[in-house]
Amino acid sequence: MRRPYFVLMMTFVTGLIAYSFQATYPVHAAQSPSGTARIIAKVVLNGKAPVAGRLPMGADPACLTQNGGKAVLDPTVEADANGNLKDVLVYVKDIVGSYPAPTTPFTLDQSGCMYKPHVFGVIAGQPVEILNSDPTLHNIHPLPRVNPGFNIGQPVKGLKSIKTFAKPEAPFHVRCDVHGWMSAYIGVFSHPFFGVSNDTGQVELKNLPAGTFQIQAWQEKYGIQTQSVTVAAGESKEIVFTFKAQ
Amino acid sequence: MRFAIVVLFLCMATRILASGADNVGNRDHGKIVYERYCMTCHGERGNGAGEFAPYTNPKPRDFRKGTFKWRSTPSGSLPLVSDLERTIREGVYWTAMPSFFVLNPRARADVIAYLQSFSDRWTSEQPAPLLVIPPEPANTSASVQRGRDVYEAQSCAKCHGDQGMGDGESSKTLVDDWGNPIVPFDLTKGHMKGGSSSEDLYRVFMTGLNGTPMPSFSDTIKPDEAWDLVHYIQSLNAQNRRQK
Repeated sequence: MRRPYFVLMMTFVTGLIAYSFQATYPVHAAQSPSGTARIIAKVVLNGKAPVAGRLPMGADPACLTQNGGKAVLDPTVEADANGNLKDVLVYVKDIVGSYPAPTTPFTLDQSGCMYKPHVFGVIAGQPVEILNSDPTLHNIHPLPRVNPGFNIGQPVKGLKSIKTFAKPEAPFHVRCDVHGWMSAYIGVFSHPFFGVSNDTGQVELKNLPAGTFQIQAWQEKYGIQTQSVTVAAGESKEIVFTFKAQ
Repeated sequence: MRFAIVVLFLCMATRILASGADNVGNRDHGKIVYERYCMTCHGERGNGAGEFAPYTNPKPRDFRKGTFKWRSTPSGSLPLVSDLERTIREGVYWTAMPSFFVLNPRARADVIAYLQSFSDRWTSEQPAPLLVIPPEPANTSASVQRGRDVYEAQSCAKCHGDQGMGDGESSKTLVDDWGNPIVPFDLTKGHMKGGSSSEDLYRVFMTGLNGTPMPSFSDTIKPDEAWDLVHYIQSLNAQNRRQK
């Protein structure tokens, strides 16, 4: 009689312990971005871009060497002669559904004492590989408002650290305290419908489902603009975001 | 009956461990302690903007972000309650934060429970793995010399300077997470801010100081190298005294 009683009680105990560890987060079925609509955003700067200052690479001889002694300019506002604005993060503000985070890391490189890329987005939970390609000390110091931050020293060329940001969050600053000019911004999303404007100011949001979306464009100096855009299945719609130069 | 009590205990212990709640202070009592001893600097809302805050440097910690310098946990993580207890008990040397050694342990536990109410990180985050500090080897001249090599290899001099005096090439541009100017610690001063024991020093560069430019080097410094670096940093103070 004692043995069945013991087995029963152990099962009960195991169940209780398992319950105590149970995650409280709701579970949604993950979706793949398989829609056929797309939005092509063009980002332009109205007016003359501010003159980009020369970054003080001379503060660290290794940084100067990595750039071959050439001047490196502040990337805060990068626009070409036609006003095409680079490094603007464009994204769908809210969308229903749960999209799986890629397991392939997104690489943030520290090269020539600059962050490459300067602005980028990841899906919440996606690994971010932080690489030091420079023969000097960098410390990678993100300043998120929702996710926990961290600050890691990478004193040797070739070092890699892998981190994740678990919760969606508006773009936040990343800095290297050793080289005060190094600056990057990361946006964390619950979905894959985001992109960063290229040299010609273009961003493509593809594989969208049909619907009406709030599309936002975020620029580190000029802030956020929002447009409401409706796309049908198979439709491709072009929109323009115009930031005023200041 | 005895078995049921054991089951109940197991479940409660599991819940407590899973939530990281290693504090058992009374929040209501802690509020009284906080308002009497902490509020003038850290502010009524725990935002670091108390009445005396403008006259302090560095500024009182803003508790709303759950960001604490001296921890036994990895960079970015919440501290253990025992870390907060140590800071409150010992104070922070060279700053306006005094030692509250005179408060009884119960009052310190209570005030920790209250300051945890300023950030929801304390209820939403899982406990982080604790830094394991191996036993300290002998502090020999060979260890000090190896520590100097570690100091150079890890580029500590970029901020702390070649002689550890806090005058490295990056020292003039540093700011904390709130944008306040901050300077690297002068390692020749003797007393360390977060405690001067060997373990205190070991902990600082292996976990970093959250909210400041001081990063964690746990990915790149091995435990035996860390002890050598501790011995080298301790030697900077002795060297300084000899030179005087």
